Amino acid sequence: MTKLIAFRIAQAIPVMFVVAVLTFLLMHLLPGDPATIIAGDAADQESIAQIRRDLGLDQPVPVQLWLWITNLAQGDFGRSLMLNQPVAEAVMQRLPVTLSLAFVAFVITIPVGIALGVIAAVWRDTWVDSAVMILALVGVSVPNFWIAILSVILFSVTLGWLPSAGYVPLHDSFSGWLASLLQPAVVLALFQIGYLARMTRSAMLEVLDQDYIRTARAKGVTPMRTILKHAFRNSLMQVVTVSGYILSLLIGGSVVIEQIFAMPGIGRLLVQAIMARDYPVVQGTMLLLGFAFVFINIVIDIVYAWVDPRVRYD
Amino acid sequence: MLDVQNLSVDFRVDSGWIRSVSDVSFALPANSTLGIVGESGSGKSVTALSILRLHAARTTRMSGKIMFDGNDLLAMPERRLRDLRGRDIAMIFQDPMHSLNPVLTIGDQIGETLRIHQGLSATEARNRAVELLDMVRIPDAKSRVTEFPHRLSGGMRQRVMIAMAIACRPRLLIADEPTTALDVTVQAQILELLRELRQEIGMSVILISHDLGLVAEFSERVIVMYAGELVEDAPARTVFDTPQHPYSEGLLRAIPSPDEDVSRLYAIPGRIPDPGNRPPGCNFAPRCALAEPACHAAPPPLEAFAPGHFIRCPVRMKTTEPAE
Repeated sequence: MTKLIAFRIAQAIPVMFVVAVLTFLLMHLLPGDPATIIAGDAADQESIAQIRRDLGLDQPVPVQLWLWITNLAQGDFGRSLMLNQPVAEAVMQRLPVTLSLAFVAFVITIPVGIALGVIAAVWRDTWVDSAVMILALVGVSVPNFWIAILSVILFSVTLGWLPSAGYVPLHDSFSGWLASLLQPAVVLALFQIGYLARMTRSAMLEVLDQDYIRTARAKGVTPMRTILKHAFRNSLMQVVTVSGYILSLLIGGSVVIEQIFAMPGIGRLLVQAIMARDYPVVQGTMLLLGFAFVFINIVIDIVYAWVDPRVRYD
Repeated sequence: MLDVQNLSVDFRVDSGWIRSVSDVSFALPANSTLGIVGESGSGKSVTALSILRLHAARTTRMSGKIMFDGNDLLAMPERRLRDLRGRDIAMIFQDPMHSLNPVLTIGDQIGETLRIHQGLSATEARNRAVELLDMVRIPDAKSRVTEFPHRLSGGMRQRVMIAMAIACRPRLLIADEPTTALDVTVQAQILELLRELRQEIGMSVILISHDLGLVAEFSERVIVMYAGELVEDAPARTVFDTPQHPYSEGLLRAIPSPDEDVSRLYAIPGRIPDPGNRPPGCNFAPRCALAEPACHAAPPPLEAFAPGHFIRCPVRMKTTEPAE
């Protein structure tokens, strides 16, 4: 197991390098010049050139890439062009918001999505199955920014139960933290719940057709126990895969939700940075997201080995 | 002990219901052996699964009676039937590769039967599982009990299936093609094991196979099925030595004999009719060398050819005298 983890981390290093280079190149392909934006409308050519020199933007792109990568290797993510603070600091300030949002959404998604999927599979081809699948279809089809707006109108404006925007840090107040996250997290989770329910249902249906389920029934195992002990554990492989993917999507999906609910997370930071052509921040944030995805995938591989005895990687 | 009366099984397909097993009756006294022979699609496995009602309930319709100790298994509430499953009637299946749960240890799977039916604790069930693995001659049972199925060979897995089936000392064991997926040498070992366990536990066994030789050797009585119908029902020796139904004869001729120098293996001409598209008369008539016009007209009845010997073949009924 230790060998597996070490191997997967070693594999992740070249992946991270490629992510870094691609992020850098992508940013420099975008039209627009940060120096012009920083200097403002009234600036003359001389001061723009000065700013450009200060920021190192007058260097050829390969040199800039080399500087950025070598700095990265030393743990220096650079300085933000718009915020006048180090990128690492800017990201770290906002990371808890995004992680809280993804975490709460994940905690809602997993049990609800799995339960719906299992229920639909057990009552396949009945009205229960149809109802769950229609719900799931609505969840994956309706855009979440639209649901977010409707939700704000109902729960924040009309009923006044939940705040419509903002974020309360966890260390200030737990209930405030939860209240500020509940609405965005549920909206964010809706799509994932639908997706997870559909995947869980199809995984369960596949397993329920297997010979060993018949064996369990022939032994006199109750239907409930057959489903939970014999069937569900076998569909877990696929559920775990999808769950990892969902966690990645939740972190990515927070970009839109943070905009709508005005939450100071890294999704919002990323959008602001792109608008301002703040290369170091965009690169740093993208790199962090890339790192999160790679990390989630490593965790999934480890969970596989734990869930399925046939997977041992040795 | 077991008395199957006029069992018919229908499966739902897109276009309606299709009859898979039609009007099958047979009886099995306590502590006896019965073989069911037929080719793929003959309905032998469907019949076997019907006894424990293991078909998907929503797409299956069963009629007739399956009496077990005087109770009709087909009319019994699911909850009561569940108590019989694995305790009084146990079953082993064709494919040991897929019949064991891949994520549970074999000890868990054997012990589960005991925990359900005899209320044993986890430790007791584990100890019993080791004893059972010993009984089915799995070497080093103590350390094997914590293995997962994928670590065992096909023969070993079938032994585990058997250990699981006999855990509660059932009175009836249904073995549905237990050796089909195994090597020939392993087949013989598994049958020998079943024979010994039968003696030891004193249970009845229904052995289902497409191999007439194997079934005749193992069982006291044999029924031959074709296209969902019972076509011959007789003592095993009779079916093996002097089968009367042309289909049973064909099955017997299809067994290659080492004594004869044959350049071509015998095969019954034609194919088993599709369940949705069976002929109006005798199901076997289209493939039968003896068929007369009447055979194609109306389905023949099952008739007593000799005491304890039944066949569904009017041609043989009128042309052949039973051997003395």
